[in-house]
Amino acid sequence: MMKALVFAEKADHFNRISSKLKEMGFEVHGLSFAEANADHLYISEPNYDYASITAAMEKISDDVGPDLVVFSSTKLGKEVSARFAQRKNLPCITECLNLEVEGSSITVSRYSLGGKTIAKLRTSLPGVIAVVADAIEPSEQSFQMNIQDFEIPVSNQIRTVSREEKKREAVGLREADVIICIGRGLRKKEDIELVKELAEKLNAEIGCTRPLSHDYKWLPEERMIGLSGEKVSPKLLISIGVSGQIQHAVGIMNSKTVIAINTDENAPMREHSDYYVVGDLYEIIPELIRNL
Amino acid sequence: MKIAVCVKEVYNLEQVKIIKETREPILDVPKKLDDLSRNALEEAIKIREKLGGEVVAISAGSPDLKKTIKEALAMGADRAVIVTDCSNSTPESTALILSKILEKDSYDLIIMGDASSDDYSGQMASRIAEILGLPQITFVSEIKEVSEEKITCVRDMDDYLEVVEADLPCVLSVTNEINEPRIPALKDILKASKKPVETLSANDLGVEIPQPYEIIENLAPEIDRRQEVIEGDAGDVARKLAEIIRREA
Ligand SMILES: Cc1cc2nc3c(=O)[nH]c(=O)nc-3n(C[C@H](O)[C@H](O)[C@H](O)COP(=O)(O)OP(=O)(O)OC[C@H]3O[C@@H](n4cnc5c(N)ncnc54)[C@H](O)[C@@H]3O)c2cc1C
Repeated sequence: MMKALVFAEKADHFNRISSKLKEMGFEVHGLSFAEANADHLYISEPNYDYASITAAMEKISDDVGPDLVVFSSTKLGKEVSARFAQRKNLPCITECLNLEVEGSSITVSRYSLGGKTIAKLRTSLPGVIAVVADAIEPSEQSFQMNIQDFEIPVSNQIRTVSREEKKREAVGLREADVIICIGRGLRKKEDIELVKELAEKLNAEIGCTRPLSHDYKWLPEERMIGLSGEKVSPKLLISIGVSGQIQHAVGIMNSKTVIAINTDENAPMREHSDYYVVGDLYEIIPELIRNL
Repeated sequence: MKIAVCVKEVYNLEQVKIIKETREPILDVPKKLDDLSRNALEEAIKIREKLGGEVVAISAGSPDLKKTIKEALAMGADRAVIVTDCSNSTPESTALILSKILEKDSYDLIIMGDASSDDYSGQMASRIAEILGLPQITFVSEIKEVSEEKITCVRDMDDYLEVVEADLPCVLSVTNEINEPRIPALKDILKASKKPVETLSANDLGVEIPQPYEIIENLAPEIDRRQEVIEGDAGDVARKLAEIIRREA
């Protein structure tokens, strides 16, 4: 039986990944910070240091001899997957959306060209991948659940001075029927009030482009839609002042209907819209609110 | 302070069109220096402005690099070392090649983007740091302090912000938000063509290019939007929109 070795810092990610691997016929070994589903699980104290986790995975991997080593494609997971792969001189593919095994090779899909295309890549085992855990539908599987404690070797390649959890807001973007997505066409933070008024009328969630959440910090990061953010699939998405560059557009492609409002008649957003309104959001939104 | 910045040429993605029937991308478009590479360069130049020293742009890519690398020199890199026979590169091959170049000099800092805007693979800092046996600080959103011996950075991770420090030499990867890259003036662009560029081949470096995987297909998803344009007086537009929204929501 082929063996897989998994590391994910979040138990939810771990369980999604391990259920997929089990379904594919792997015996699942893993390292996690809390109880999770595996045939053989090592549990350790939480540790977010790449050098320590790489060393731990190297040690476990030398004992287990896995055919496939799988990480969750979080920032930490990607960082460690590549360092581990280089140490073991193995190929590594990050940001995998899907995986299939055939004999001694594995096929994965991932976005390419910033999200313009989806590439299918085949690599022979042994290999390393980092999987976008949220892209996996978890399934019910039964595991041996042999659990043992594990002490992660301490490394001091870099020293942590402080760590602060980000404040998270529960955002229902992925479940929303209607999303209003705003971009840099909005001139200032206060103008979000106008959008909120529209959102209330439509019972919509508000999403945004990366500059609004990451550069200006007008909205929390969990509202950001795109390649490096949420992928959404509402019935209706209204995109306001968004240029529609591919790294953003890839996040809205599964929307059923897309309406865009943009002053530029030829923004890339046009190609991603069913209805493309050429006009100034500051003139159209107040009128629209009046008409709803 | 001697700083290497690993930069990448990418297709100008906005110009990449898709063949309607086959869904294949048409890659016959100009290349440019990647956005994240500019963030890395900007940060390196800022450090040089403070501590003095040299900024060297390093890249592996296609023969087009001879042109693309000028953008890095115009931004302010002092010189460049490029490898121009790796058009079909992978993280595995690029890491090997860049490390070979980096080994030839002793750099205090090696800076790059946290991923590229085309492949978004995010492996380079880890792989290079591992090959060179150096510490790495990834996803840096702010450099708080840097001296000849030590660096302190803020890392922007998924769920937490972290302040970490490391001794130099060290490998850094920076986020898109760390700075606003400068736009070169005409005189900088003119000066760029006089700066030294060393051009090498993978062969010169003694690197055999690994082919770790096979690309089975690379196709665009079907984008089949109506693209109906609505224009006119705000009042009329709003009425039409309200109708569409009532129907679709
Ligand atoms: C590796 C990488 C990953 C990325 N991941 C993401 C991601 O996940 N999500 C994301 O969003 N971005 C992402 N980006 C950034 C992305 O490439 C774009 O830069 C970003 O999406 C642009 O945001 P925007 O449309 O708000 O701003 P802009 O591109 O500046 O567009 C603003 C638009 O507003 C229009 N406008 C201006 N005034 C008005 C008005 N009064 N009324 C109506 N319209 C108006 C303009 O015509 C323009 O089209 C990523 C980039 C990189 C390099």
